Amino acid sequence: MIDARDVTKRFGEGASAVTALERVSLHVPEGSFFTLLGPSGCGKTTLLRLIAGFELPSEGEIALDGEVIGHLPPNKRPVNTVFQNYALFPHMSVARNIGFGLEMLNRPKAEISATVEEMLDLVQLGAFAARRVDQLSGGQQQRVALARALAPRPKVLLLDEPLSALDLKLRKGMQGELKRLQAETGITFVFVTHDQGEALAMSDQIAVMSAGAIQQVGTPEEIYTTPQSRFVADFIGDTNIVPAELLGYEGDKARIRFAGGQAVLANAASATLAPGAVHVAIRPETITVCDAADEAALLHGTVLDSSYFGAGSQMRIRLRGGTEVQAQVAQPSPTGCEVGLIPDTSMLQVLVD
Amino acid sequence: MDKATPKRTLFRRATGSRELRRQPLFTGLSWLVLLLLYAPIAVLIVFSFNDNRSVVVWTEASLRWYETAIGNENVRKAAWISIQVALTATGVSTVIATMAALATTRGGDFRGKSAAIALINQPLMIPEIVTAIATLSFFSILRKLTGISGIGWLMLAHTVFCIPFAFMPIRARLADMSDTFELAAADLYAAPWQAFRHVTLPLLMPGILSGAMLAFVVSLDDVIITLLIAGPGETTLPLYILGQIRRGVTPEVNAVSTILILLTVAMVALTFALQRKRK
Amino acid sequence: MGQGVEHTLSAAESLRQAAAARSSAQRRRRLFLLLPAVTIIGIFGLAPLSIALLYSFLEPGTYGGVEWVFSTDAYVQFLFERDIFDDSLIFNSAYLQIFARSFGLALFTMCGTLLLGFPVAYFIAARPPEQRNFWLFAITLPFWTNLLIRTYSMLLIVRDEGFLNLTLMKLGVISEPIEMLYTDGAVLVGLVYSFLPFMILPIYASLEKFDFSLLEAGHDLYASRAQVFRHIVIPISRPGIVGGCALVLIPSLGAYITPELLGGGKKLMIGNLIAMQFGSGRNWPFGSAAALILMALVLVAMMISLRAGAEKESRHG
Repeated sequence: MIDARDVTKRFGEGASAVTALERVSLHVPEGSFFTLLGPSGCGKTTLLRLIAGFELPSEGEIALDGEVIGHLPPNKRPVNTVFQNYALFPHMSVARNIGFGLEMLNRPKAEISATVEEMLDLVQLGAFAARRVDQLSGGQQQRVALARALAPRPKVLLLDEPLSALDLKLRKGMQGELKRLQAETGITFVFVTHDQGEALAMSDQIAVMSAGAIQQVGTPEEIYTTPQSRFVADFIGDTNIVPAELLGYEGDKARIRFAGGQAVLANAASATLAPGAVHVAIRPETITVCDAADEAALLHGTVLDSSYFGAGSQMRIRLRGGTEVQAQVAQPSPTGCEVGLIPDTSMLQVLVD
Repeated sequence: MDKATPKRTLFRRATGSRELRRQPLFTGLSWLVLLLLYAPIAVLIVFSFNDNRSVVVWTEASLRWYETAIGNENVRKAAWISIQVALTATGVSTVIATMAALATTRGGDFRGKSAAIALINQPLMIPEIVTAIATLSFFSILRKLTGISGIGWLMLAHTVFCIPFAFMPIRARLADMSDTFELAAADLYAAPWQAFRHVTLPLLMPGILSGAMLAFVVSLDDVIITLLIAGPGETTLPLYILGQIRRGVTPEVNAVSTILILLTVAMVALTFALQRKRK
Repeated sequence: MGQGVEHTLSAAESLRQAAAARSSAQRRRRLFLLLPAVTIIGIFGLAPLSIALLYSFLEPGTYGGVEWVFSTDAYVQFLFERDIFDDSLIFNSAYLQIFARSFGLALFTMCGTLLLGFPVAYFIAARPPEQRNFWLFAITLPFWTNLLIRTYSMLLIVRDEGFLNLTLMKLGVISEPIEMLYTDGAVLVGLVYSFLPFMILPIYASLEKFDFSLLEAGHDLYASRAQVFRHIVIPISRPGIVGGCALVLIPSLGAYITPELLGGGKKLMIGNLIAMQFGSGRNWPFGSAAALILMALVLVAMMISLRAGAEKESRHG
């Protein structure tokens, strides 16, 4: 579907040039809900704007269905965008907004009005066709923006943080709505967000970005359970990042040892690291807290405090090396208590810095 | 500390902001200033309806001076010249200002942008009397060189100083207007001229109308430049009024002035209403 | 992806072409859009100023216009009178006095509008938003009303047989009309009346977004009313005050209509002096020189106000 190859985007010229994207390559499969996730300034919106055609790449190529489109202006690309603040035309009715793309494509009037009606039904705004857009609520404007971008039946729909302007409750509802629309239309969605919860909940695939580069691409589960780099582990969920010693590789596993513990096998993305100091990701919910004297304990520390969050308690523990970790348990140990920690070794992930 | 009880402090906090904002002296002064701004104009307007030669002793209400003014061929001629000049200057300057506003707000920064803006605003920076004599000197050369005379020179001079007045509100509106609307249009298959025609232009319309009205009012009101540039037979309404005042005041001048004021007020009020509606 | 190297090369090529086409289209569009404004103002706004500069170094023609002979007489004339008989130069302060009067009147106008305008601007900014629009409209309206007509209306008030004198006489306060017209005072009142909105609007603009809870914060920290005003309100409105002063001072310096009608040709200002040279006085070079000196004064005033504005920014930054 979409193939980006070695795409670089620089803004400005000469010494003051800022590189927003550095040799990014990406494949978006047809019919998928694909998310670009990352903190602000990571280049995700720039990549989206390059696909839309609002900017030209400095280098590299962008292809759609095998056809190179990177150099075309936005009006020559079968790609539509839902803007962050919707950018609905305030001087047009809801219906004319939705029909605008088809109008510009010189489609017959009958076809336009039929499609507009269909789209209004699709986003459940049938009664609002004649309204002015400023008479709509934020959630309704969002739906109009979706309908407007879907009406010309683009090959790809780009969504630039479309939920960020909505309040929490509406946002949850719209997440489901977006998934439904994607499934119903079968159109490829490329969704940009900085909200990892949103990304995990909605996507078929996620590309985590940072500093103008793609850090990792995978299904939400892969991204969550097997983060490959320290950045991804840190960005997705509350992860403990603990120093350890890498002893070597055994098959696709890495043999590691925490300070003062015994050697165990952990997951590793690739056997590229040299033996020595590494960081290992441990999800708080995969830690079992045990007695300090327990033989099975891989890590040892002192309980700093614990807080109740409903389904259990979150404990903060200072390890002997000084690193602070969190563990989710049913029964917290008292503050100041010496404890041992047994992480689920099948969930340990050696990180690339 | 002082004897204020905690309760009283709390009370003061709750009402403090309203109370502190108010500077009672300022309120009185503001109303006084408003009175001073409007009183002379009010006197002028009231006595334009006076059935008497005096401009300050009231006798009886009548439209006598309006009849005189409208029946006066010189007034009619002056009004016609004023309107011709103002309409031409407004039309031309608004188009030019809109183009320049588009160039300086869309399509990114470029070298010489602030110089271009400064150049366009130049007529505002220079005392009108200086512009007037400089334009007179320049035009006298051009008139001699080209052999062309006529009202066109006056229209040209008005166009020049109307451009910055039209430019300001149009540019302000464009600068306020996010360019995502144009991006959205392009994204929805609009070619650049279609995006301009269907999106930019309609959204910019209130700004263009404000600009045009300001230009019209400024042209209609101009005295100094017109005084020096206007050739024989090119007496505009303000020039006619000035000539009459120099000869001695009559209620007829009040009547003509009142008509001009009402025209201006209508224009400005309309602009104001348009701007508020679009917000 | 079986397209191979050749395909990638052509993609890079088309990308470069597209980028070049986009930027050259943008340049052409920009040029097309800017050309009319820049040409018209460049030719009919800037060129006349250079002509004025040129004229100021020529000799006056007998019936207006100029003789194309180089001369610095126009500038010498400001300070000296040429004796008709022996061509010697005698110091003459008449023109200097006109400049001094203009400057003085402009400064007084500035102070007057500031004293009246600041409280009004503050008052408007402190109004609830729905009332502000009324006040802004009320203040702006006279600003758009013809200056000539407003000055004329002031003339109706302050004339010997004007509204004010007749009312006062009717009330028995005075028996003889007070002579107000054709005095510096009348010109000053007229100028303040004309340019007051120029002072109010920029100060209002700087106070518009003012957070009035800062006043509370000030009082909370034991500042008195006057202290709050001095340390919070004035610094925040400073850019507006500076801008307003410039906007009042510049047109006051070049005023023509007000001194013409209310000063009655006796109390001349620079504007009248210049206009006279192109009318009955008929000395274009002298008028051009006077205009250029006026422009220099205005330029100095603008530079001072720019510096005063910049100073404030650096202090905050």
